[in-house]
Amino acid sequence: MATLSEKVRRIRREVLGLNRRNQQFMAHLNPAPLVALVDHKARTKDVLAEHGLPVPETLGRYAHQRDLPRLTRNVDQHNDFVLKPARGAGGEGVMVIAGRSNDRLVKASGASLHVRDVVSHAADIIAGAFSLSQSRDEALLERRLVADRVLGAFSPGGIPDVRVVVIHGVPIMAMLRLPTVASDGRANLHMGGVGVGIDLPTGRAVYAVWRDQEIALHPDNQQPLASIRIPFWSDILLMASRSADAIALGYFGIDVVIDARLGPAILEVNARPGLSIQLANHRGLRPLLARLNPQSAAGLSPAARVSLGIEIVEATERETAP
Amino acid sequence: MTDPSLAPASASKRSSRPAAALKLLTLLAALLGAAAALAQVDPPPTAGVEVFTGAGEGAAPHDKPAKLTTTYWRVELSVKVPKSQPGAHVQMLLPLSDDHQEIVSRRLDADGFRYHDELVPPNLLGIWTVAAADRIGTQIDYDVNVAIHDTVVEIPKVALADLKPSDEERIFLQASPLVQTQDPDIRRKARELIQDAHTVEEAIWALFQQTAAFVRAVPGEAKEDAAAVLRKGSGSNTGKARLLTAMMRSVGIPARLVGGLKLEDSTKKRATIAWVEARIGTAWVPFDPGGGYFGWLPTQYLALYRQDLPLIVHSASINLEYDFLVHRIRRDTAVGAAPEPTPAAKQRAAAAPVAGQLVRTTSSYVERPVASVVMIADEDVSDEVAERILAEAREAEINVVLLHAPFESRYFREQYLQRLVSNNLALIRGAHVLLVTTHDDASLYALLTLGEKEMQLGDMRIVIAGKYPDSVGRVLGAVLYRMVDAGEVALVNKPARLLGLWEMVRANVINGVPMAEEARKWNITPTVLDQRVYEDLGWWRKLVIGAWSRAVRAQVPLQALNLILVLPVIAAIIVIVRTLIGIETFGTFSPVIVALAFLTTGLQWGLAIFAVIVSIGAAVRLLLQRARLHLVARLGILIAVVAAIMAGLTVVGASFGIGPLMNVSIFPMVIMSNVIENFTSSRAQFGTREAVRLTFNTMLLAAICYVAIETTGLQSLLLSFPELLIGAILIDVGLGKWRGLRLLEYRRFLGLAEKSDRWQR
Ligand SMILES: Nc1ncnc2c1ncn2[C@@H]1O[C@H](COP(=O)(O)OP(=O)(O)OP(=O)(O)O)[C@@H](O)[C@H]1O
Repeated sequence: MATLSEKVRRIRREVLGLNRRNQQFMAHLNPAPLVALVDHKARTKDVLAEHGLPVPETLGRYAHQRDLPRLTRNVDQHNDFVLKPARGAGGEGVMVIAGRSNDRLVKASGASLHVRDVVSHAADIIAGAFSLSQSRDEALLERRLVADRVLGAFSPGGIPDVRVVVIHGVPIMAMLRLPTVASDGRANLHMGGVGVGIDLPTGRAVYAVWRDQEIALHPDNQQPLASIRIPFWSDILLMASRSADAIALGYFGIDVVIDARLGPAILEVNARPGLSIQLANHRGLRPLLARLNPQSAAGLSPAARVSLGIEIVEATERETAP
Repeated sequence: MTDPSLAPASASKRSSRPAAALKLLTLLAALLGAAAALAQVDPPPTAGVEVFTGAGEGAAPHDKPAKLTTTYWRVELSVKVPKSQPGAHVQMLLPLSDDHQEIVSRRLDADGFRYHDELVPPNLLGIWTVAAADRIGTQIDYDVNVAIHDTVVEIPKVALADLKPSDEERIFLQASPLVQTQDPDIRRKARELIQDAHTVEEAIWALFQQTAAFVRAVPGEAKEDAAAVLRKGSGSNTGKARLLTAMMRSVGIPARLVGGLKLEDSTKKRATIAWVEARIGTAWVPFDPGGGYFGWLPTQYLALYRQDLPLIVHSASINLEYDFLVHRIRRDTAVGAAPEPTPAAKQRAAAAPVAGQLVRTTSSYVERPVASVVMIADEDVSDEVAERILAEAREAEINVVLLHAPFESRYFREQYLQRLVSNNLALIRGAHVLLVTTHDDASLYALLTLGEKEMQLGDMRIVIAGKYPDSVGRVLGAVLYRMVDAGEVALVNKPARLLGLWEMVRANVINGVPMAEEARKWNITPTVLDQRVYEDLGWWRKLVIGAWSRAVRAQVPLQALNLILVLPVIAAIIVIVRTLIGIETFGTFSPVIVALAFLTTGLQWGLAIFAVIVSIGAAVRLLLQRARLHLVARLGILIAVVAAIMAGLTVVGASFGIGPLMNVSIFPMVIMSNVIENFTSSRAQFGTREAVRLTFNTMLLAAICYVAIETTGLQSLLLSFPELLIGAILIDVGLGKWRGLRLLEYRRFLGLAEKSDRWQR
């Protein structure tokens, strides 16, 4: 049994805290205009798509009330889709339409509604009802992604996503976030989602936390989490690494959803990724960062940066392994 | 997902940073406004030269009138003041409206004087001050048109045994030099008279008959006291009233004197008359033994003031002449007169006591005092202590006045003490020793009003007792010392018992024992501040003292400066708590502002009010959710909701006499609305638990800041040593670069250092 002071020392050595993250990474590596860019989902997707990165297709953007008739026409062309605020946060105002029955649209949650309800929701979004600080916003119509079979089995309540943290262009740590009944279908760990730590070299689950405590089985359907292996893992790492070329943030996270038909797509780029990813991985970020030399990463190709990330992780593991 | 612990903070930072300065200003304005608006419950004034006017007029008993009439009068007071120095003043008690009389209009004319009036419940005190050297006033005119009704007061049926005066009514049982309740003859006579009485009315009737019928009416001297009237068996109108009052009080019936005029058409009057009002149940019932009115007052009686007070008080340097010119007038003439704001409305507004506080005045006067001492205490002084002090004072032939009242919130204490001082300026001016004692550092500020009024106190000695560091006392004491030019200022820098302080003062006054010496017996160690001590201070300290003196002279309350100076320090505390401990709140500096509101309401009430506003506000906000309005509109509505809640709480406070609730308006509305908005948005983003946690943290941090300010005397410390602000800035700089883990992060990541490791494949 480690004594408390040993534990404290270990935490101090390994864990990246908010103070250091804010000063050393966010303040220095993330210029404000780029942070503003990734806070706008539609523009972010455009930039990513220009660089050939897969994103859920944008079916329409509506910045003014006068654009709403166009929305009505666009909605008629699709059976399922997602309508969300471009600058929302925490999943607020996201409306997921899963299909149609007769005249009406059916939400992912099962509730049915009319097209004009969708339009009035868009009007609310434009008016800024879901934006935290801006008074106006843009509504975004987007193709609905459907969780693929492998990961879908682990999240009856919603769509799981993979969060990869990228620092100096190097993917360095990853976790899978599984929505639960408790989290109301959202993958947010604070809302009660499960965080599964992912081994960077292999894409296998290595640890999992739920409400900050270790768990081995999914709380809703008792599936063993240790058996998870993320499909398309090397693609996902490469996407993470290439995003850093598209958007030159020095410290960010990407949220990747693996769609049943399209495979992995980047749902969101986050300039302030949280630190609980360390809990999910049962590893601190600092030993990894200590090996990550910004200069040596600078000239590398995306693929080489992925290899560098894997090397760093493996070297660190070798050192800390008993 | 955004980092949950960062998002609420950064989200609100976006909106709150640029607006922070504005919010602060709004808050300060609110605080200052509240300070100015503090209602007035004033202790009765006493002063230099007193003109007692009740020479008296006799009359026979009268039956209650069958038909009640109303008459209209014009009463013109004119005072001739010989040429005098600027600053000389004349104070006069002025008639107010009540059930019996209605001041329809009033007119003021006093060229060369500054006039203001103060409501000293239940009286109105008019104060004329000779304005400037080049325009010295010599004539004061104060005219009123008044409607007076025959007033019959139903005497409540109360058994004598059931008469239980409330605490507030007890002051109407106390003895005074002219109304000697404790005099053995008076006590015996009163007992004897009421032997057969069962009800209060019967008892009063017995006492009334004695004074009205068996005491001969003679034109007498105004200062005739109750015991003398009883002894001689004769007395003036006022003397009779004093005797009746003394007898009533001695048998436990609360009673007070009323001074007034008996009006007759086209006459010039100087003499006032006096009658008695007894407190029976909830009514004040009039009894006039001199005029023969039992339980009613005729339409010719104009009440000028209540309690045994001199009608006019003026500076010792002037000799004045005055009279009342009385005309009976017609109703339309009375009502048609040029309307001046009548003081009746003002009386009602001020009638609610501040935070339910009552000031008690205890005093003792002797014929030829060797010294006079004024003591002001923020505690409830027990009768025992008060009596001992008064007895010792009488024996040593010292005049003492003891003003005391307990206060809950520090903010009120400061405001209130200052008011207390400014309402008793005349009294204080004449004192040899002035003693203020509080259980915190409020005593340091109480007397600054004297400096504000530019009073020069010559060789007066001032004792300031309270809890403050010696160094702080030296600086703030010096501000006072420099401004009022007192003989010396003695600082007692720990809460001392009033009795000990009194002994110290007494020994000093009578035997010339240095204060420090006598004080040692009482375990008090005063620091004496005089010219030498001041000279020894450094140039910077002198500069600070000079600056604050100028501020006080310009009527800037030091409390306002306090709040400004203390803000950066609280902000530094917040920085410490956030970056070292890791407590996350709504908005970085919201807790600071909320903490300042707590300073006014006190902690418990502050927390309760905060919780009520946020929970009702959040409920309303959730209802608004369906309306899907955008942020600015939502905030607008929330501000309205918060305003309505605050107005409601104020009314509740006023109805139940809860002082702190009456001052909810101090709560920063915009900040509260932001907290509510943040609560709902973080509830949507991170769940109810997280939102409640953040709200709780915001309250917690506000409470921590409150405690840090309230219990450490931080405000006075900063006022004395403003350079400490540099320290606050250094803390901010240091922590701005601090990259270590926050305390709560250790707890959060403790699992990471546990023995159990990743899963083995
Ligand atoms: N195209 C889509 N197809 C299917 N589901 C989607 C789609 N877009 C969003 N969602 C669902 O809505 C949730 C929130 O979406 P998104 O991440 O875009 O919003 P957000 O406000 O940025 O939330 P957060 O900040 O928590 O990531 C996702 O977790 C997912 O469940």
